[in-house]
Amino acid sequence: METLSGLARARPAGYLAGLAGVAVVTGLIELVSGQVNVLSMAVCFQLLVLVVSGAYGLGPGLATGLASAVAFNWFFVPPVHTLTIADTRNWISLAVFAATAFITSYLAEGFRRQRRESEERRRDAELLARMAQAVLAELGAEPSVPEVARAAAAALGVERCRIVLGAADDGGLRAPTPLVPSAAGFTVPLVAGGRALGLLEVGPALAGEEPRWATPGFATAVAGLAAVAVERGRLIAAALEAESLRRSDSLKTALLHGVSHEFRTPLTAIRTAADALAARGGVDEPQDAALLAVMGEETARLDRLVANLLDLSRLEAGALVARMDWCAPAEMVAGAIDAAAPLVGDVAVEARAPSSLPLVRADPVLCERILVNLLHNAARHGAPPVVVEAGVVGGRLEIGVSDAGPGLDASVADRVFDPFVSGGRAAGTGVGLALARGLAEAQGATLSADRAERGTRFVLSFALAPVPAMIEEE
Amino acid sequence: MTAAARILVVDDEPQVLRGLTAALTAAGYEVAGAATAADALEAAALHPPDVVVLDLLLPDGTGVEVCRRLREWTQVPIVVVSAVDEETEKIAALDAGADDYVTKPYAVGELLARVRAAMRRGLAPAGDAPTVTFGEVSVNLALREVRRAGEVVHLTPHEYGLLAELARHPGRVLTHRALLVAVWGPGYSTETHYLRVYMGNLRRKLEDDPSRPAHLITETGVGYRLRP
Repeated sequence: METLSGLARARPAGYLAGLAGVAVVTGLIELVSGQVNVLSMAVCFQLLVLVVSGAYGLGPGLATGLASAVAFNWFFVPPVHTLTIADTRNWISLAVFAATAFITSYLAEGFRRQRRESEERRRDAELLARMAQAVLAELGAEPSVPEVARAAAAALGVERCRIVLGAADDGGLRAPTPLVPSAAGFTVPLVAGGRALGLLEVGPALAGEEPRWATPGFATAVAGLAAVAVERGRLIAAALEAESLRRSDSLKTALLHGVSHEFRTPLTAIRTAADALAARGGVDEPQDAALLAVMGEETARLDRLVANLLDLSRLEAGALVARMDWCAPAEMVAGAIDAAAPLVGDVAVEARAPSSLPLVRADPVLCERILVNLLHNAARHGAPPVVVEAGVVGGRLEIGVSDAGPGLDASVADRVFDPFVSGGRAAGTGVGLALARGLAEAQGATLSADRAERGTRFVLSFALAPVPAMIEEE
Repeated sequence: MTAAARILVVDDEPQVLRGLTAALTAAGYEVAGAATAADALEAAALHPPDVVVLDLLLPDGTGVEVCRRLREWTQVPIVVVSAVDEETEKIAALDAGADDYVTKPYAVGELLARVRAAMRRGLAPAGDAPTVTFGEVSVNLALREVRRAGEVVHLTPHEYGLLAELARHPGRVLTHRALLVAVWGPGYSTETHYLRVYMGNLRRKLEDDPSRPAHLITETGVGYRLRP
């Protein structure tokens, strides 16, 4: 497609060149008219038409053809210096000449247009490639939105572009205007992966530059590239963030695991030694016995904390795998109360778990550790009576551990499952509750805390599944 | 006891071995230590111990293999020590012939109690008493009769089979697999839900407080034990 300014510049030059060509060719034929048959020299004009229409297009070509016919007739067709043609054969020659000139001009014009279009396409492709290079090629470094806008402006040959991000329906964006050249510019929607990212606002064309957005699809292609670049920038930023999070997480887990593991052996040895000293009964002073008891108890506590930390690190590293089995709620409750006995001291624990409850799919060992942690927590921070009860609630089996203590502090209720968050009463809960929740999730169960009127109630909840049929007897 | 009972302690951590040796010596036992599976087997053959206390994680092979090798020639009671997340190893050791287990972290008092119980069982081999009693319940294995406070209790064949299998090994941990194979047959070795339901029935019929069983004890993730 030729632009208006292009036409205006090209045409007068073409016509003038055509006329000059006709004069030159006429002069040359005149020079050689003595030696050759001038009528056969008409072919020289055909050559001229071909050259002019190839260089300047259809209009100058046709004009050159017409001027050639007139000049040839005037100067060389008998009777010369008149426009009359005596011989019928010369009429035919002239008609053939005119037709040839017309067809030649037409073909040359087509050829010219094709060449120009392919040049435009090549230039567009080059511009797009350059823009792609600018906004996409740098691996690992995400291009900023203004950088993408600058690259788009350079590709389109306009003063400036602006990228407005946001959902199309949030009201902050204007509807895209049609791609019509105007002084104020226009907007193109930015779409990547079928998702609208925002708009590309294209400013007015640069002074003295041919606005390139006029090529069909070019502005859309630039907008598409800009959208991909913006989207890629976002993805890279997100990936970098995830990667750094993952690294700090795995570092934390490795540290936790290493420290816990290294602590374990000396702790076990100290505890064994303290226990041995106490078991021997070789201490005479009552204070010594009390000191030994403190050593034993505190080492045991540290040992439990380290064991919990180790489990937490295993859980976070994905090294702890639940081994699912059919479990009887009554057994789970009774087993947990037995296992927690050394930790709860003389706090009475009541079990309410009828053996008629349905079996659940769970990891019995992990469940016991969850319930032991909850019982330990209730005995330490709550107040008796501590009750463990199991029941079916809304298609799920729930095991609740409740106490009648002061209850969770409202400020920490949401964070009580975070490691080392205190319930707002005594010392911190350490990692017991964090571990308990992790262990619950590892087997597809949930653990939540209810803030009751009095005390706290933790609920371990399992989805119920049909128990396989069993052979009947009797 | 005329001579001190001899305990072989197998643990690859020197500090733990030293502490345990001191604790068990203080409790009146004669203690031999071994840090590897090879040392343990050699020490056991050289001076047959009365009890073996065996850590399941050894540098030159697992404790399970030591259990199996010991059981090839001796019925010495074996108490295995394992970490909390080693249920599979624990079960394998019990199936390979270990008598009992303690889970780390443990108190020395608990270990001593297990050792004493294992030694008592070692002195009175299982299966030679026709009647086993626990609480108010007596199980007459010869008559296949179960009484609670003198009253005959009606049990289904599988309930009786399960109770009898536990009663034949009082105090010992029997794995799920061992119980299922003994009572229901080899095809049922992983059908744990049978055990859960039948143990529930037995507790309802025999325990004073079925929700807090005193005799039919759950060994979580491992099996069951009859506590006399």
